[in-house]
Amino acid sequence: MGSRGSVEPVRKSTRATLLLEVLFAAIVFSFVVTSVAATAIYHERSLRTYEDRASATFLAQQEMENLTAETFARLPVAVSTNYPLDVTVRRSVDGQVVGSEYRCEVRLDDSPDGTLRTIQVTVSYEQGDETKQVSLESDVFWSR
Amino acid sequence: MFSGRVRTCSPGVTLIEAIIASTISLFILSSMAYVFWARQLHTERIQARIDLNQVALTALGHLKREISESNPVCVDVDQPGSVIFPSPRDLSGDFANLSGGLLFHKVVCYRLDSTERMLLRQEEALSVPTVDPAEPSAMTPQRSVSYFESSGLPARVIARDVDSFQITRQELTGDQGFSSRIHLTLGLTRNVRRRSFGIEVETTIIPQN
Repeated sequence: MGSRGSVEPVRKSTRATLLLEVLFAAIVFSFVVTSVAATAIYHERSLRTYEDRASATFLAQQEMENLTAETFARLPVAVSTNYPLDVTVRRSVDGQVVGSEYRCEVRLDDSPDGTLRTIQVTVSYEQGDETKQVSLESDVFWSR
Repeated sequence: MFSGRVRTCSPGVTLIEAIIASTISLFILSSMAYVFWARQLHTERIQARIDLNQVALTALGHLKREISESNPVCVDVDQPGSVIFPSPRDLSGDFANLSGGLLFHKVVCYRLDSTERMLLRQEEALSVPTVDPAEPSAMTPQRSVSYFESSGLPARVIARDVDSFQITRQELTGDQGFSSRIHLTLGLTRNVRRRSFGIEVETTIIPQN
C-alpha cells in the first residue's frame, strides 16, 4: 500500500514532463534541421566562390606564363592580338547549370629606357552584384 | 531492509537502463559513422568537382596556346570532334628561325576519342619544315582524323571524362587581310557516388602566324 502511494505522484509528474520534453525536443530538432540546411546552402555558395576565384587565378597564371614565354619583341603583338580574352565556364551539378564569365585583359608598360616591360594580367568576373578581379604582374627584361 | 529494497529494485531498473543506454549508444555510434561516411563522400565529390574544373581549364589552355600560334588559313575544323593544324614549334617545343619568318615544323591533331571519353593530342613532324604550310586536308597524304588514328603516333591524353569537343571557324576578311576566329567548346562530365558533375568551357581563339 505504501508503495502504491509513492507511485501516483511519479506518474503525474512524468506525463507533464514528457509533454514539455516533446515540445522542447521538437523545437530543438527543427532548429538543428534549419541550421544544417543553412550550413549546406552556405557551403555550396562558398564552394562556388572558391571555384570562381580558383578559376580566375588559374587563368591569370596561365596567361602570364604564355606571355612571359614570348620574346621581348613579340610581346606587344601577342598582347594586341590575343586580348581581351573571354572564357565562359558552365558548371553543373546533377543537371543544374551555373555559368561564369571571365574576361582576361593585359596591360603592357614600357620603361622609359625601353629595356623593361611590365606585364599586368587582370582576370575579372561577376560574383553576385560585385565584379571581382585577380591581377598578376611581372617584369620582362630585354634579352633577345 | 535497506539492502533488500535495493536488490529488488536494482535488476529491473538496470535492465531498462541497459536497453536504453545500448539503444542510445547504438544511435550515437551509427550517427557518428554516418557523419564520417557523409564527410568522406562530400570530400570525394568536392575533389571531383575541383579536379574537373582544373582539367577543363588546363586542356583549354593547351588548345588556346597551340591554335593561336598556328596559321589562320590552315586550321582544319571540318571533322567533328577534332582540330588539325600546323605548328611553328619543333618537336622539342621551340620556335625556330625567328628572323626569317616562322618555320612550321609539325602537324598537330587534337581529337575526341568518344569510346574512352578522352581528348587526345598527336603530332607528326613535317618532312620539310616550311614557312608556308598547306592546309592539313591538302597535304599528301591527307592529314585527317582517320590518318592520325591509324598512324601509330603516340597519343597524349590531354583530358579525361570528355563528352563534347566542338570547334567552329569563322573567316574574316578586313583591312588587315584574312584572319579567322576559332570558337572552341569543351565539355566534361564525371559521376561520383550517384552525383553528376559537369563543366563546359568556351572561348574564341585567333591564330596569328
